[in-house]
Amino acid sequence: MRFRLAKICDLNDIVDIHYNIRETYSIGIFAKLGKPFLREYYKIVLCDKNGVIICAEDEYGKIHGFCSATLNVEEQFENLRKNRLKLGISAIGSLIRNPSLIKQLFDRYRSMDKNTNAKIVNVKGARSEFWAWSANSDDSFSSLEMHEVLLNLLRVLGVVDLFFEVDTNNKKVFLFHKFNGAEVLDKIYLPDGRERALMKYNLIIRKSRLKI
Amino acid sequence: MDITKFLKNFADQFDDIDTSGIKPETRFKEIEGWSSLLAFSVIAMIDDEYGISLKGDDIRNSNTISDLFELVKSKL
Repeated sequence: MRFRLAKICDLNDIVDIHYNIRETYSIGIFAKLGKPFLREYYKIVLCDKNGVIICAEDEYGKIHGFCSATLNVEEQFENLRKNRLKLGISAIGSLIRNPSLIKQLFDRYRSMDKNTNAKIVNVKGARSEFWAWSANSDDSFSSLEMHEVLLNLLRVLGVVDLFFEVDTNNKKVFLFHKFNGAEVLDKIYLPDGRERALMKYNLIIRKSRLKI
Repeated sequence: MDITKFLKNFADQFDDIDTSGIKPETRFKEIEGWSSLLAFSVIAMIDDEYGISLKGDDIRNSNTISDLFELVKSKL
């Protein structure tokens, strides 16, 4: 498996992998919003100047997974806000089929405002976003190495504090980050009752557990 | 370093399943609940308990718990 920066030519693979995670992790709203939405979202993120997406590619050129981050979440959210019409239109089909998503989408949109009290995600600094791996891959351990490559790359790019969020009911992932040197900054409750940990890696002082 | 303690430390990483059947010759990747995240917690346990940093390939190339034990022992 080799790891490399994802490019716009990887769009379809990234969308497919993210869309398919709803089979194993059914709570995330992005996958529920459907492939057209994901396609629009990743088109924006892959072209965002602050976006950093690492993907894992096997010897045959097949993408097994990816993880994404932004160097500046405020600027990225501003970019997403500018494209809200395109994003909204791309989600219409899923919203019609599942109207309960409208409130979730609205809550998520509101949470992008740095002055909001309705915090769902970290809204300042560098932020780690999605981490997805194909259920069909026979080498899931590489997903951990891919994540480590992302952390190393962000450190090289000058990131000290990397913020991210994990739902605590996603116990294994939550513990992974804790074992891997992340600290919990706060815990919040989402409108649907989920407990979410707001977490941070200090990429300078963190002791890496995974040697690549 | 003894295998009994290593086995217990290994089994402690599983919190949802009965680990009473885990033996040195158990092929750990076939244990119910084995995953990449569990592999990571085994790596972290070995780092904490024995001060040895394993790589992903060490896990990939090991089949049984005994293989892992011998690997760690050889690096001490």
